[in-house]
Amino acid sequence: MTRQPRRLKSPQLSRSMGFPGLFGIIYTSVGFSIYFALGVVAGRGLGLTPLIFLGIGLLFIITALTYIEGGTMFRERGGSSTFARHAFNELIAFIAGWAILIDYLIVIALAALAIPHYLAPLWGELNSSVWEVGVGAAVIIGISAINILDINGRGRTGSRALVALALADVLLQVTVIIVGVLVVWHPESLTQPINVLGGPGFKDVIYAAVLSMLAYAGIEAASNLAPDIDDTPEDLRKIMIIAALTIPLIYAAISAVALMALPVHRGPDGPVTALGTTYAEVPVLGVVSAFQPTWVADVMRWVVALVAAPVLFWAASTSMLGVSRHVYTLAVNRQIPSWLGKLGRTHQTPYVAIVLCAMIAFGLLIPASVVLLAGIYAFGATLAITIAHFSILRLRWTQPDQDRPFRVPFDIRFRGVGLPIPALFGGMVSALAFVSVLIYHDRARWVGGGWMFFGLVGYVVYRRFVEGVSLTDRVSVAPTALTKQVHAVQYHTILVPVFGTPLDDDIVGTAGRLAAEAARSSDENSRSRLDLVYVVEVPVRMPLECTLSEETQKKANDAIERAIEVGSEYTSVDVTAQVVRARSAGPGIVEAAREAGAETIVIGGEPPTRVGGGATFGGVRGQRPAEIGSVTEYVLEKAACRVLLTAPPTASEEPDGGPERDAIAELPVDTR
Amino acid sequence: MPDPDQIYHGSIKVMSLLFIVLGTVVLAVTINAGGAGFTLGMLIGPVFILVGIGRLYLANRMSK
Repeated sequence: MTRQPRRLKSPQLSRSMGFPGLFGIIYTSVGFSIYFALGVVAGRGLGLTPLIFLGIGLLFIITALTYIEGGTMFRERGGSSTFARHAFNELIAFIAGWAILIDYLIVIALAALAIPHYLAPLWGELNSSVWEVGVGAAVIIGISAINILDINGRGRTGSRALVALALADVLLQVTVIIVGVLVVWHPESLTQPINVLGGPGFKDVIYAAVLSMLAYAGIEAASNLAPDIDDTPEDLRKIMIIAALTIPLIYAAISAVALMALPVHRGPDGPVTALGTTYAEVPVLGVVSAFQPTWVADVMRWVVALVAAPVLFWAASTSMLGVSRHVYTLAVNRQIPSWLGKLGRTHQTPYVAIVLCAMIAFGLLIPASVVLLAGIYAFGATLAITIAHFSILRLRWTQPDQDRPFRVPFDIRFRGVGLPIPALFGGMVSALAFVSVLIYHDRARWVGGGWMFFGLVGYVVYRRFVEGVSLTDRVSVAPTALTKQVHAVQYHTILVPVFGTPLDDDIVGTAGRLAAEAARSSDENSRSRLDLVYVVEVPVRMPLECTLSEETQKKANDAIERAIEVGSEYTSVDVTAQVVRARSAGPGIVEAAREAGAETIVIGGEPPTRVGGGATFGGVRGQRPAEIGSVTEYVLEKAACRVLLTAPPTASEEPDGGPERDAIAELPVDTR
Repeated sequence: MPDPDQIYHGSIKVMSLLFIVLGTVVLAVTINAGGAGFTLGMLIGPVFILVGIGRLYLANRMSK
């Protein structure tokens, strides 16, 4: 029986959360970005920031529709990468998956970077660069531990806490809008022509529009929730549509209030707003700080600190969950080495991926540049979203009859196939946005381009030269291969070497249980066979057929008789026994196994050394593991069949001095 | 304690009505102040009203 990876089966979402809970979770999965995106967008978008959020919000809505169609169609994790896998091939899927991987890490870094600044109202020292990095690192370590230990809000209490946090986030954002309108709104600003608020040029608008995609970070993470939500595709569709409609409007409203609180003014280098300078990392805190009277600002600063910090922490944790699943999916599909997706034995979480991602996220945190990170984010997001749109279009073409619980509306007929106009429009716009990143964002171009180059070279090397498989075909690793567990294998013909030691009983018993299990799992009349072999080592100076000493013969016979006695306890197992002669035990066992046609050899290892430090400090031998003796080592290397190794317990582990009888569960199955 | 679903649906109605009222006020103030061109008020007011109406519509449709 194999264990299911727990984390991949039932994360923190469940039907019991209900519609509001799910809405809150999905809203917060995306809507947290306002806490760091508003500043970078307003820094270039100036007075047009609300319109930019609305415009990019339209692209977000279209993108959400595409993700809903793909997500409900396949119900697999991976978002754009999964769509590309089904629509195109593994290479395109890897490009999308690799691009989105850096975005996950950037979200973690940005959230970790913003948390100390948002907590500054509680303790001003947190604004210093030392605390910025220190708290950021602590956040990354914290979310890594949470995800490795799998304590991401599981259970009823955890679910309620998450829902409460999500709803507090929504409430805070609405409160900022309402209070802002009441305290900083100047009626005369409504009558001013829009471009009077600050006149960004065309390049600035494009630049800011692309950066504003950061505000919709989390759409991949939200789409990754699809397989975990027990709700019907119809419920999921409703929630996603509502979230997609609500988020851009709330962003536009908050940014409008923000520009009333911190208006654009003429600086030495042109129009500027404090949102993009002083408060670039904590724009929402900046907005409420400008509220009047002062006591309102003070209260709101505390409220923002108390809500934004945990929301950002949870968002970072959700992103870590998303990236760990994402890496797992890449590993399962052999797009990256499978050890990167290995699951821990206790918690079934991809701990290697989490630790590596934490380290990269910390590296991204160090420059502490929100603008740089936002630019790189836009690089990955525009590329992945473009691929997502075109994947949905292609799937309409290649798999027209596939069941689609949701279809992007407004088709145009082309050669008998309905192609959705929104996806077509979204694909073209996001492709243009990607081009604009390449043109206008110098550092993002080089960092993002370098990331993609590194990934593609690694992909080609891994697929071509390590795995020896096609670059474009799907090659999957069974998910169970990424868990540390014993494989459920069955052997009907087992060879057991015996040596006349007390350990023989244990080894023969282990082999007997395996053989009996194999017989029981097969049809009623099936029987397994246990071949017991005792190897007499004949020195080279004597012929193999020489007469053995009585002592040697007695030792061999005693060992075989005892082994037969133990093996005969298993009624569904036939037992054979033989004494063979060889120059050394290892070759004798291997040859006996070959002649008997054994499916496996069950053999014991030498007891582990009791010397602390093992071989290095005087253990059994030099280079080999202490628990493997020379005979076992030879058999492991030379046998043509599988080898099961059972190590005896040390004397200190045996209360009665005898071997452990339940060693079967501990068998490390064939490592070759 | 009331059912979370009831609180949720109730809050939707309140928030939607608030958006409609807010949008109407913005629109009225803008027009009254002579800003009936391509101004911020003429943009934000209708948007707020549409959001409120749209959300109410969706809530009603989904509850059926």
